[in-house]
Amino acid sequence: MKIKQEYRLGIGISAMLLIFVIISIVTLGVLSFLSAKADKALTDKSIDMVCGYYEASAAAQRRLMEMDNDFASVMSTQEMDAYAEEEGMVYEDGALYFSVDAGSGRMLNVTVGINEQFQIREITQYTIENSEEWSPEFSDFSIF
Amino acid sequence: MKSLRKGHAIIIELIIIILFFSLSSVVIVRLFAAAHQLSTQSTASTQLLLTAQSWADQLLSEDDFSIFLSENGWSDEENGLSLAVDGGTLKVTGLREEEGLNGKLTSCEISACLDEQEIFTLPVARYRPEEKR
Repeated sequence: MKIKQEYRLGIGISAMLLIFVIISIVTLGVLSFLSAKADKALTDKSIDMVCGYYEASAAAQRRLMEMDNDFASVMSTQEMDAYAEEEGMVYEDGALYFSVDAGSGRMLNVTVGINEQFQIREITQYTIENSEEWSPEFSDFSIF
Repeated sequence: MKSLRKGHAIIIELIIIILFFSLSSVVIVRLFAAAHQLSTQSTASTQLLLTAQSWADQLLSEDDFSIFLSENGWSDEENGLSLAVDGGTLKVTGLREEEGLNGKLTSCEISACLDEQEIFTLPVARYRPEEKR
């Protein structure tokens, strides 16, 4: 003779199941949101860095034009030294060096070669360099 | 009688659970939607940034910005030129040439728009000393 077994849900089982499901989905949702937020922050940072470079580059190109205009009145090395000092540049061995702030602790360093007639001959350096000491955001966090 | 009460309790519990689940679902679906929107925005922004950078670098190697842009599919608009790209629209405004004593400065601004909202602007400028040098 077969014994008929009845399976019934006890009170509280469905509530426990629901709590488990909700906690799982909330965890997934929060992780997904945090990941998307971090991605957006990284994208914004990237946009800032690129815009900073192009702004610095445009400023440097404008400065080159102004320099080239000003060189029309420069006739000697002494005048060139005085011009460089006045404009906050460095003139050394026939090359003029200046830098433009590119944001985020970076500088665009430009060096131009000047010929004997005090005209711009060529651009010998056009590089972005860090101007600030790098420090980790979480200095207390030890990786090793 | 006891079994009937137990049945009632289970039904009430189920109703409460379904209500709670519905409310939680609304919140969770909104959370997922926000995450999806943020993710879509950052993907589009990155795509636009790369495309704008590419155009800016191409412009820097050209003598005449407006001719180059017109020849490469940019269409005329009120304030400049525009191009529909993946993720949004690029606009070039402020195209100008400034004559110096010994050369020419060509400049413009490339703006990226996502859903008619401007995200960033890249200034592009190139100074060319005269050929006689």
